[in-house]
Amino acid sequence: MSSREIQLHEDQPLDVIDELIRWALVDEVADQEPSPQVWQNIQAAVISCSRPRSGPSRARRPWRQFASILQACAWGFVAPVEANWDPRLAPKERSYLIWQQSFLLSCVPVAVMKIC
Amino acid sequence: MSLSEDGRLISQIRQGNILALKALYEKYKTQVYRTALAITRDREAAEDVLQDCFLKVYTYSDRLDGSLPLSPWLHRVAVNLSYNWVNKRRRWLQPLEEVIDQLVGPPRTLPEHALETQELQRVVQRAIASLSFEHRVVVVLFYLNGFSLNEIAYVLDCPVGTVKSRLHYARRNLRRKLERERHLLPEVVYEFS
Repeated sequence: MSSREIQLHEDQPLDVIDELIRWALVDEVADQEPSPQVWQNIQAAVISCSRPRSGPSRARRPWRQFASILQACAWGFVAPVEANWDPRLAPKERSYLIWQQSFLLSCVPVAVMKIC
Repeated sequence: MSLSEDGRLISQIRQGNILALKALYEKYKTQVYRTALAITRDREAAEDVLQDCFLKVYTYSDRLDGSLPLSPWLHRVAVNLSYNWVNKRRRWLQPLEEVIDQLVGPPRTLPEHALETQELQRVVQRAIASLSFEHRVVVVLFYLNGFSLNEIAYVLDCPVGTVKSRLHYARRNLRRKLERERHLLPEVVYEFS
Protein backbone atom coordinates (compact mmCIF):
# COMPACT_ATOMS: atom_id res chain seq x y z
CA MET A 1 0.00 0.00 0.00
CA SER A 2 1.42 3.37 -0.91
CA SER A 3 1.03 6.39 1.29
CA ARG A 4 -0.63 8.21 -1.59
CA GLU A 5 -3.38 5.62 -1.66
CA ILE A 6 -4.17 6.17 1.99
CA GLN A 7 -6.45 9.00 2.79
CA LEU A 8 -8.00 9.41 6.17
CA HIS A 9 -11.07 11.49 6.56
CA GLU A 10 -13.58 11.77 9.35
CA ASP A 11 -16.33 10.51 7.06
CA GLN A 12 -14.36 7.64 5.64
CA PRO A 13 -15.42 4.12 6.57
CA LEU A 14 -13.40 2.04 9.01
CA ASP A 15 -12.21 -0.33 6.31
CA VAL A 16 -9.56 2.26 5.42
CA ILE A 17 -8.38 2.07 9.01
CA ASP A 18 -8.48 -1.71 8.78
CA GLU A 19 -6.28 -1.68 5.72
CA LEU A 20 -3.91 0.76 7.33
CA ILE A 21 -3.57 -1.27 10.54
CA ARG A 22 -3.01 -4.52 8.67
CA TRP A 23 -0.41 -2.92 6.44
CA ALA A 24 1.50 -1.35 9.33
CA LEU A 25 1.45 -4.51 11.44
CA VAL A 26 2.43 -6.89 8.68
CA ASP A 27 5.17 -4.57 7.52
CA GLU A 28 6.52 -4.08 11.04
CA VAL A 29 7.23 -7.79 11.55
CA ALA A 30 7.85 -8.80 7.94
CA ASP A 31 11.11 -10.72 7.43
CA GLN A 32 11.60 -10.97 11.20
CA GLU A 33 12.83 -14.38 12.26
CA PRO A 34 14.00 -15.65 15.63
CA SER A 35 17.72 -16.28 15.99
CA PRO A 36 19.00 -19.90 15.88
CA GLN A 37 20.07 -19.42 19.49
CA VAL A 38 16.42 -19.77 20.59
CA TRP A 39 16.22 -23.39 19.47
CA GLN A 40 19.61 -24.12 21.03
CA ASN A 41 18.33 -22.73 24.34
CA ILE A 42 15.17 -24.82 24.11
CA GLN A 43 17.21 -27.92 23.34
CA ALA A 44 19.58 -27.28 26.25
CA ALA A 45 16.68 -26.69 28.63
CA VAL A 46 14.88 -29.84 27.49
CA ILE A 47 18.02 -31.94 27.90
CA SER A 48 18.69 -30.55 31.38
CA CYS A 49 15.02 -31.17 32.28
CA SER A 50 15.21 -34.78 31.12
CA ARG A 51 18.29 -35.58 33.21
CA PRO A 52 16.52 -35.85 36.58
CA ARG A 53 14.12 -38.40 35.04
CA SER A 54 17.02 -40.64 34.11
CA GLY A 55 18.30 -40.99 37.64
CA PRO A 56 20.92 -38.56 38.97
CA SER A 57 18.49 -37.03 41.45
CA ARG A 58 17.64 -40.50 42.73
CA ALA A 59 21.33 -41.16 43.18
CA ARG A 60 21.55 -38.04 45.31
CA ARG A 61 18.53 -39.03 47.35
CA PRO A 62 20.23 -41.39 49.91
CA TRP A 63 22.76 -38.71 50.76
CA ARG A 64 19.93 -36.21 51.28
CA GLN A 65 18.11 -38.70 53.51
CA PHE A 66 21.24 -39.31 55.53
CA ALA A 67 21.78 -35.57 55.98
CA SER A 68 18.16 -35.11 57.09
CA ILE A 69 18.44 -37.98 59.57
CA LEU A 70 21.64 -36.53 61.01
CA GLN A 71 19.97 -33.13 61.37
CA ALA A 72 16.93 -34.65 63.09
CA CYS A 73 19.11 -36.72 65.43
CA ALA A 74 21.14 -33.69 66.40
CA TRP A 75 17.99 -31.71 67.12
CA GLY A 76 16.48 -34.59 69.09
CA PHE A 77 19.67 -35.01 71.09
CA VAL A 78 20.28 -31.36 71.90
CA ALA A 79 16.75 -30.71 73.15
CA PRO A 80 16.71 -33.36 75.97
CA VAL A 81 20.19 -32.35 77.07
CA GLU A 82 19.18 -28.71 77.17
CA ALA A 83 16.06 -29.63 79.13
CA ASN A 84 18.21 -31.61 81.60
CA TRP A 85 20.51 -28.70 82.14
CA ASP A 86 17.77 -26.19 82.92
CA PRO A 87 17.79 -25.86 86.77
CA ARG A 88 14.45 -23.95 86.81
CA LEU A 89 12.46 -27.03 85.74
CA ALA A 90 10.83 -29.34 88.25
CA PRO A 91 12.08 -32.96 88.09
CA LYS A 92 8.74 -34.16 86.68
CA GLU A 93 8.76 -31.54 83.95
CA ARG A 94 12.35 -32.35 83.15
CA SER A 95 11.69 -36.08 82.79
CA TYR A 96 8.59 -35.36 80.67
CA LEU A 97 10.64 -33.19 78.32
CA ILE A 98 13.39 -35.76 78.07
CA TRP A 99 10.84 -38.45 77.27
CA GLN A 100 9.14 -36.22 74.68
CA GLN A 101 12.37 -35.26 72.95
CA SER A 102 13.67 -38.80 72.99
CA PHE A 103 10.46 -39.91 71.36
CA LEU A 104 11.02 -37.32 68.64
CA LEU A 105 14.58 -38.53 68.31
CA SER A 106 13.32 -41.95 67.34
CA CYS A 107 10.29 -40.84 65.27
CA VAL A 108 11.57 -37.92 63.22
CA PRO A 109 14.21 -39.84 61.25
CA VAL A 110 11.58 -42.45 60.35
CA ALA A 111 9.18 -39.71 59.22
CA VAL A 112 11.94 -38.01 57.22
CA MET A 113 12.78 -41.29 55.49
CA LYS A 114 9.12 -41.84 54.62
CA ILE A 115 8.79 -38.32 53.14
CA CYS A 116 12.01 -38.58 51.12
CA MET B 1 1.41 -30.60 7.59
CA SER B 2 -2.06 -31.57 8.78
CA LEU B 3 -3.56 -31.24 12.23
CA SER B 4 -3.31 -34.96 12.79
CA GLU B 5 0.42 -34.66 12.19
CA ASP B 6 0.56 -32.10 15.00
CA GLY B 7 -1.16 -34.66 17.19
CA ARG B 8 1.33 -37.32 16.13
CA LEU B 9 4.22 -34.99 16.95
CA ILE B 10 2.71 -34.18 20.34
CA SER B 11 2.45 -37.86 21.19
CA GLN B 12 6.11 -38.29 20.20
CA ILE B 13 7.07 -35.33 22.41
CA ARG B 14 5.34 -37.10 25.31
CA GLN B 15 7.81 -39.92 24.84
CA GLY B 16 10.68 -37.42 25.05
CA ASN B 17 11.35 -37.14 21.31
CA ILE B 18 13.18 -33.84 20.89
CA LEU B 19 13.09 -34.08 17.09
CA ALA B 20 9.30 -33.99 17.21
CA LEU B 21 9.54 -30.83 19.30
CA LYS B 22 11.89 -29.34 16.73
CA ALA B 23 9.46 -30.19 13.91
CA LEU B 24 6.69 -28.32 15.76
CA TYR B 25 9.06 -25.48 16.50
CA GLU B 26 10.03 -25.12 12.84
CA LYS B 27 6.38 -25.08 11.86
CA TYR B 28 5.18 -22.43 14.29
CA LYS B 29 8.27 -20.41 15.26
CA THR B 30 7.78 -17.57 12.79
CA GLN B 31 4.08 -17.16 13.53
CA VAL B 32 4.54 -17.15 17.31
CA TYR B 33 7.65 -14.97 17.18
CA ARG B 34 6.01 -12.33 15.00
CA THR B 35 2.93 -12.25 17.20
CA ALA B 36 5.05 -11.78 20.30
CA LEU B 37 7.12 -9.16 18.50
CA ALA B 38 4.04 -7.23 17.42
CA ILE B 39 2.74 -7.25 20.99
CA THR B 40 5.96 -6.51 22.86
CA ARG B 41 7.83 -4.59 20.10
CA ASP B 42 11.03 -6.02 21.55
CA ARG B 43 13.09 -8.67 19.75
CA GLU B 44 14.68 -10.14 22.87
CA ALA B 45 11.35 -10.33 24.65
CA ALA B 46 9.76 -11.98 21.61
CA GLU B 47 12.55 -14.58 21.53
CA ASP B 48 12.10 -15.25 25.25
CA VAL B 49 8.37 -15.67 24.70
CA LEU B 50 8.99 -18.08 21.83
CA GLN B 51 11.46 -20.07 23.90
CA ASP B 52 9.15 -20.33 26.91
CA CYS B 53 6.24 -21.24 24.65
CA PHE B 54 7.97 -24.32 23.30
CA LEU B 55 9.33 -25.29 26.68
CA LYS B 56 5.71 -25.30 27.84
CA VAL B 57 4.79 -27.49 24.88
CA TYR B 58 7.41 -29.97 26.09
CA THR B 59 6.47 -29.68 29.77
CA TYR B 60 2.71 -29.89 29.27
CA SER B 61 2.65 -32.26 26.28
CA ASP B 62 0.68 -34.75 28.42
CA ARG B 63 -2.15 -32.24 28.80
CA LEU B 64 -2.27 -31.14 25.16
CA ASP B 65 -5.14 -32.45 23.07
CA GLY B 66 -3.58 -33.69 19.84
CA SER B 67 -6.90 -33.61 18.01
CA LEU B 68 -7.22 -29.82 18.40
CA PRO B 69 -5.24 -27.23 16.41
CA LEU B 70 -2.08 -26.26 18.25
CA SER B 71 -1.82 -22.70 16.95
CA PRO B 72 -4.50 -21.12 19.22
CA TRP B 73 -2.99 -22.84 22.28
CA LEU B 74 0.48 -21.60 21.36
CA HIS B 75 -0.87 -18.09 20.88
CA ARG B 76 -2.67 -18.24 24.19
CA VAL B 77 0.62 -19.06 25.91
CA ALA B 78 2.46 -16.41 23.87
CA VAL B 79 -0.08 -13.73 24.81
CA ASN B 80 0.10 -14.65 28.50
CA LEU B 81 3.90 -14.57 28.47
CA SER B 82 3.88 -11.25 26.60
CA TYR B 83 1.45 -9.89 29.18
CA ASN B 84 3.85 -10.90 31.96
CA TRP B 85 6.72 -9.20 30.14
CA VAL B 86 4.76 -5.99 29.58
CA ASN B 87 3.72 -5.97 33.24
CA LYS B 88 7.26 -6.49 34.51
CA ARG B 89 8.69 -3.80 32.33
CA ARG B 90 9.33 -0.53 34.06
CA ARG B 91 6.70 2.02 33.27
CA TRP B 92 9.12 4.80 32.48
CA LEU B 93 10.87 2.85 29.77
CA GLN B 94 8.01 2.98 27.31
CA PRO B 95 7.57 6.76 27.12
CA LEU B 96 11.35 7.12 26.87
CA GLU B 97 11.44 4.74 23.92
CA GLU B 98 8.65 6.68 22.24
CA VAL B 99 10.61 9.91 22.57
CA ILE B 100 13.72 8.25 21.12
CA ASP B 101 11.61 6.80 18.33
CA GLN B 102 10.34 10.27 17.49
CA LEU B 103 13.78 11.87 17.70
CA VAL B 104 15.54 9.24 15.61
CA GLY B 105 13.46 9.74 12.51
CA PRO B 106 13.90 8.14 9.12
CA PRO B 107 17.07 9.01 7.23
CA ARG B 108 16.46 12.15 5.20
CA THR B 109 18.36 10.82 2.21
CA LEU B 110 15.46 8.56 1.24
CA PRO B 111 13.35 9.49 -1.76
CA GLU B 112 10.35 11.62 -0.88
CA HIS B 113 7.79 8.93 -1.52
CA ALA B 114 9.63 6.30 0.54
CA LEU B 115 10.02 8.83 3.32
CA GLU B 116 6.29 9.53 3.37
CA THR B 117 5.45 5.84 3.44
CA GLN B 118 7.92 5.18 6.22
CA GLU B 119 6.65 8.13 8.22
CA LEU B 120 3.06 7.02 7.83
CA GLN B 121 3.99 3.51 8.87
CA ARG B 122 5.73 4.78 11.99
CA VAL B 123 2.72 6.90 12.91
CA VAL B 124 0.36 3.93 12.60
CA GLN B 125 2.74 1.62 14.45
CA ARG B 126 3.09 4.17 17.23
CA ALA B 127 -0.68 4.49 17.43
CA ILE B 128 -1.02 0.70 17.72
CA ALA B 129 1.74 0.58 20.35
CA SER B 130 -0.02 3.24 22.40
CA LEU B 131 -3.18 1.13 22.71
CA SER B 132 -3.80 -0.66 26.00
CA PHE B 133 -2.44 -4.21 26.20
CA GLU B 134 -5.92 -5.79 25.84
CA HIS B 135 -6.73 -3.73 22.74
CA ARG B 136 -3.31 -4.22 21.18
CA VAL B 137 -3.47 -7.99 21.56
CA VAL B 138 -6.88 -8.16 19.89
CA VAL B 139 -5.65 -5.94 17.05
CA VAL B 140 -2.52 -8.07 16.53
CA LEU B 141 -4.41 -11.37 16.57
CA PHE B 142 -7.13 -10.07 14.26
CA TYR B 143 -5.09 -8.14 11.70
CA LEU B 144 -1.70 -9.83 11.79
CA ASN B 145 -2.68 -13.45 12.41
CA GLY B 146 -6.06 -13.26 10.73
CA PHE B 147 -7.71 -15.11 13.63
CA SER B 148 -11.49 -15.24 13.79
CA LEU B 149 -13.34 -13.68 16.72
CA ASN B 150 -13.97 -17.17 18.13
CA GLU B 151 -10.28 -18.06 17.93
CA ILE B 152 -9.32 -14.80 19.63
CA ALA B 153 -11.89 -15.51 22.35
CA TYR B 154 -10.21 -18.90 22.94
CA VAL B 155 -6.72 -17.35 22.97
CA LEU B 156 -7.75 -14.67 25.45
CA ASP B 157 -10.07 -16.96 27.39
CA CYS B 158 -12.94 -14.48 27.27
CA PRO B 159 -16.40 -14.28 25.62
CA VAL B 160 -16.68 -13.43 21.92
CA GLY B 161 -18.69 -10.34 22.87
CA THR B 162 -15.70 -9.02 24.81
CA VAL B 163 -13.44 -9.55 21.79
CA LYS B 164 -15.91 -7.69 19.55
CA SER B 165 -16.12 -4.85 22.01
CA ARG B 166 -12.33 -4.59 22.38
CA LEU B 167 -11.84 -4.63 18.64
CA HIS B 168 -14.46 -1.95 18.17
CA TYR B 169 -12.91 0.36 20.76
CA ALA B 170 -9.39 -0.36 19.53
CA ARG B 171 -10.32 0.66 15.98
CA ARG B 172 -12.11 3.74 17.24
CA ASN B 173 -9.11 4.72 19.37
CA LEU B 174 -6.74 4.15 16.47
CA ARG B 175 -8.85 6.28 14.19
CA ARG B 176 -8.84 9.10 16.74
CA LYS B 177 -5.12 8.83 17.35
CA LEU B 178 -4.35 8.88 13.64
CA GLU B 179 -6.56 11.90 13.11
CA ARG B 180 -4.83 13.64 16.00
CA GLU B 181 -1.40 12.90 14.54
CA ARG B 182 -2.21 13.94 11.02
CA HIS B 183 -0.20 17.14 11.43
CA LEU B 184 2.89 14.91 11.59
CA LEU B 185 2.16 13.49 8.20
CA PRO B 186 2.76 15.11 4.84
CA GLU B 187 -0.27 16.62 3.25
CA VAL B 188 -0.23 13.98 0.52
CA VAL B 189 -1.39 11.42 3.03
CA TYR B 190 -4.34 13.49 4.06
CA GLU B 191 -5.36 15.16 0.92
CA PHE B 192 -8.67 16.44 2.14
CA SER B 193 -8.96 20.17 2.62
